[in-house]
Amino acid sequence: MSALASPAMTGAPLGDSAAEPIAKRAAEPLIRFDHVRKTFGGVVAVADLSLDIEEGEFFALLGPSGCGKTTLMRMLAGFETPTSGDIRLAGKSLAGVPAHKRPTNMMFQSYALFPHLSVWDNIAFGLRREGLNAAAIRARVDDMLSLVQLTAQARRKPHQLSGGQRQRVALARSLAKEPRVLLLDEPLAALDKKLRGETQFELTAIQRRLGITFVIVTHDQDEAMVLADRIAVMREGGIEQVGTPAEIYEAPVSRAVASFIGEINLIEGTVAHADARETALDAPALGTRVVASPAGAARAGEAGCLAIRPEKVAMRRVNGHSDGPNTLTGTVSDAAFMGEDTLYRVRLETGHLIKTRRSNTRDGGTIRLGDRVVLNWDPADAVFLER
Amino acid sequence: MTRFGWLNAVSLTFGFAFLYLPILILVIYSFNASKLVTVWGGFSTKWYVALFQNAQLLAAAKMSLLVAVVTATLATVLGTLAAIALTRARRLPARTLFQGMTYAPLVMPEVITGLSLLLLFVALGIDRGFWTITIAHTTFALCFVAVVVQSRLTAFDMSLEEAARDLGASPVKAFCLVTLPLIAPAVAAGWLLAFTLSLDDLVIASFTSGPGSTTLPMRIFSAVRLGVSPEINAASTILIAAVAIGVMTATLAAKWGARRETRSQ
Repeated sequence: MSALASPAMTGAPLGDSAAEPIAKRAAEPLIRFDHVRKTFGGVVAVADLSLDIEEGEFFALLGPSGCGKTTLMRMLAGFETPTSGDIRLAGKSLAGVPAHKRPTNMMFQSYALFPHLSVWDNIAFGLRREGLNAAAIRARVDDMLSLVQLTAQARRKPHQLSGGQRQRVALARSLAKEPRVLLLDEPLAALDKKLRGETQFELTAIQRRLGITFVIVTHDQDEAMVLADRIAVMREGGIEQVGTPAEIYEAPVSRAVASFIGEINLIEGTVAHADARETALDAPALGTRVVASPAGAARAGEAGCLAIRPEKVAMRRVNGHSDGPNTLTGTVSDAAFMGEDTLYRVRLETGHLIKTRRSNTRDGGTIRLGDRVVLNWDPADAVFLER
Repeated sequence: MTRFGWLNAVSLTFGFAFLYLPILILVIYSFNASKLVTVWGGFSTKWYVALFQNAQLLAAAKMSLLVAVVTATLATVLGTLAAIALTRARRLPARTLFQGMTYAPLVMPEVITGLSLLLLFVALGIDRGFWTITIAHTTFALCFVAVVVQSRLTAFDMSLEEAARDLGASPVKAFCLVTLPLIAPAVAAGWLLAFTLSLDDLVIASFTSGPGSTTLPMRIFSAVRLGVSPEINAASTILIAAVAIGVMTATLAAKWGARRETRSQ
């Protein structure tokens, strides 16, 4: 594996047998989960899941705990075997390939640094297993140490490092072998909030620089949004939606996705009419009809749900008569100051609460608790959800 | 914490006196210049000198040491393997039963263990001697090793071994390079425990020994039946010292290992 010695390693294929047939098969993505199913003694962890991950992507598996995201990652790493279905890497099935022969490396949630080895030896561990000569190992470890800025701590033992430093050792160790795919299991969960913010940018910078495919498992939607090029939202062993952070945020396909990612107003109702232009919903909770304009496949009479993000709901004080589609009046019930903006909850005459977010700038005048306000939104910003 | 009152002091004194007074008397009399066991005739180390000239006793001591070293080594290997199997095989059916069966010999009366092994060796037609004693000692010592190593393994973070495999180490390599160094203190403690258990065993050795394979406790016991000699006191003192050092080292090794682990987390 001579490529290891060169610091420029953008997408350099490994000399591993599993990585050989990468010869630009455009049809096949780097990783393909093909109808993968995994059960643990009757309990379904992953249910008939198919998913493609492209080369060079920063991909996030996002979902609440127990949704199967960790099991999916462990199957890719080789620590679990699918009950049925196939996982392919660069067009080759991984079935029967043991963990230590896969061109994937994993950064563990607990970091799993070897406590009896120094930082240097931790990073060198994987390289030594390949039988590289001492000079190549030294060069590579030193490269990795400078990548994560830990050259001065090379001789320390893991217990002599801070949490952030340990995290970087874990990252360096898993990158040292220049894997085709780097798997990150909740990589930032153990860090405090400020450090997490800094590390997020560091991770994306390193990923861009190395061009390695990153697959991250997280339950933190903000983390997934900031880091990933694409996100798969998982729920109960299956995939709810795959898309870019913007797609998932702006156009969720189900109530589960919509409510898992960020704040949202979900308005239940019955479809009054639907055509290619808009979907209108009679919402008893609001006592009125609301409209979403992205075209859906809904039919009149069906039950459904209209989803609108709080920052898309405009709010102003009542002055005179207001009318038009998606216009509601109510009273400001409470306000949560969040720094750059404030999240208000407005109680309608029916008692239903609508959330709206307002930037804390001077324009627009102040709104106080108890004020009578008018809410409205552009139909194009609302989404109609059938599920 | 409750106050260390006079009642505690008295009960502690009585307790320790009960445990250690006989041993203390034995140690003191091993330095007795007089041949009479009950009469103090001044300080002397002549019985230690005599001891090292007693070929029979020396041969028995050599036999005991050899049995103890081989036993400890065999028991450590087997006991560690048993501990690994019991810790890892979470989905093994009847795991609790296996666990209980590993621990049962700990509480089995030695006479029964000794007798059953004797019957086995006779039935198989094995000549009794060094190897039968060693096998018998290994059988009960490995349970102790299994207990010590298992308590360490249950607290072991399995993701460390997974990380080693992920980085290209085969399962065996991962165990040798990561798990074994980290559980080494417990394994060492198990070895020392097995060593001392074997060294001071009389009952099981009596059942399974043959002509020409007499261990030190057996030699001491038979010598005492002919009258207590101060030489035996000296031999016993050395045995006590060996066992005490073994147990203390085992305890310290286990403690040191546990502390190193907590520090790293």
